[in-house]
Amino acid sequence: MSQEMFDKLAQAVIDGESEDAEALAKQALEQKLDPLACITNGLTVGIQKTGELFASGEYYLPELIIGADAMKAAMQILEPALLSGQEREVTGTIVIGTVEGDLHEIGKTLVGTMMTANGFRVIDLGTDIPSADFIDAVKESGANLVGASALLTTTMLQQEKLISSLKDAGLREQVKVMVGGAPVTASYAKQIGADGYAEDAISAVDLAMRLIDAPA
Amino acid sequence: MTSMTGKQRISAAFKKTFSDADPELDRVPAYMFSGACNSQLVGSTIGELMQDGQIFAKGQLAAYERYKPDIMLMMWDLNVDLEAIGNEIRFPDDSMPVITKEILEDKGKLSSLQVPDPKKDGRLPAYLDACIEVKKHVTDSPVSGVIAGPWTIAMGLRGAANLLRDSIKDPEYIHELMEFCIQATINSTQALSEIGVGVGYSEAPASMDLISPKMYREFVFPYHKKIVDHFKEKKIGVGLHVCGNADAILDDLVATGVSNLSVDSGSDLALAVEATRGKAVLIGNVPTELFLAESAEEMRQSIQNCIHVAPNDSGYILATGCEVPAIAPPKKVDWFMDLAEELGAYN
Repeated sequence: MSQEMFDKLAQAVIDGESEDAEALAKQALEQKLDPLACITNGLTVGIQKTGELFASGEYYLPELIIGADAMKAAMQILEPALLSGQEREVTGTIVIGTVEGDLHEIGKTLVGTMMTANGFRVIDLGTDIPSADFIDAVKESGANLVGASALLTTTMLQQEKLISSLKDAGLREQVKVMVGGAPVTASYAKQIGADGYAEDAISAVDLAMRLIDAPA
Repeated sequence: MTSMTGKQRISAAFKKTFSDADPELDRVPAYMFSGACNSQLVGSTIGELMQDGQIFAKGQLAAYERYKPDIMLMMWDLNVDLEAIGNEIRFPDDSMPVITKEILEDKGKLSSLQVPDPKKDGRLPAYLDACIEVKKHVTDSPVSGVIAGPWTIAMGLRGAANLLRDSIKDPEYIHELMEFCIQATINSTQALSEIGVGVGYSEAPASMDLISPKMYREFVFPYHKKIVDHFKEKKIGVGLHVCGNADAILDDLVATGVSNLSVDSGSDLALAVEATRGKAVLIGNVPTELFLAESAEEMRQSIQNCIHVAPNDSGYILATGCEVPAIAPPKKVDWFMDLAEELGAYN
């Protein structure tokens, strides 16, 4: 029964059980289940449920992290098995990273996971990323969104620098820029000319959806 | 009444909390957490100030001269212990130090780690020397050291994401790690108290921004209590600062027995008033982003609100919720003490 497998995959993500998720993904392929359906109806359902539990205050950051780990473990098995020509429908493409001088990783990575779960193609550059690297990645990927994270009051300034670099590179019209991180606020985002601010990974997805639906 | 000194104001705040006395105060006691931003007062880069204890001391003294805070907090950076234990740190010119390698990325290395000697290892001796130097010159206000608490050290050594994973996958490991980390905190606290400065530890990542209240109670509280008890026996009181939203654990933080509790702007000051009344001096919690605002108006409102909410029957010290941003211009730091003076005057 494929639905049973989807439910198990979802549960492995909700429980943050990476080994189970990986084993289930292998089992699913052995049973000739459609890997895309396993992702969409299993893993994605699981990580969205995990996000809901976080939003409602039942889960905290640790549960969200291990849920994302479990999702990644299963994705590594399922993604290579996608049939050629069978690609996930892409909602949008986002380049994300933590800005130069800042090595905080957790929030940025969770945003990436939640965006992936919601159908975005995510190019995660990592941490300590200079503006120039964001620009190169936007050019190469044709992204329509950029997400920049900063956790220090000193590195927040790099978000502003990134926005002006995007302007200088003639890419500002092509992308919507989202910013986040503990010291960042909605008013700061507005002040530096970002298109939006999200408080956590869950609301970042809603924000991204809104931003790309908005008329250019 | 005539103007009081910082020492008199802080002493009054403690008496208000821990006795029935209601000493007179000329204004609300006030200070800010500032370190990196003082590089601007001495013409150094942030990187230079963070690597040279003498420049740091010079910066703190310049800040004392200019702002006249009621407590001179020796806010360097919270990587000092981590570095002495074995983390690799990079010191950018224009930004705060960043960890480039966590020694416990491989968790098995824990058994080989040495508790650092504050008189020998890393920047710890330079920190102690800076405290001695500043205390020599600052005689009107108490000088207080601030060091990383055990949970901050644990997270720094292991890496935040890994430590949060361990909390679910390998809780026993966290307990082992915390036993090690409290030794580091205790040694640093001991060394600071021997040179006669106050001690508070900062636990940036102990709030609900990263962990659940249940996790605080399981992995952090017992160790906080151990440290506080250790020093209570020696008649040394220690303070605690928690960043972010700590509303759900305020009673727990107070139950550790700390003599003062400093809360960040993410916490609700009114709840903190209830939790600390008669048990700990409350410190807080003006948002630090206001030091980057265009005008002083929002800071004025925030300070007014803090003073309005603060208890009359228990000790309270007006302070920043966290560290003043390294890039905050000195004239905006002036706002803070000027507003404390203006808005916090009694009668």
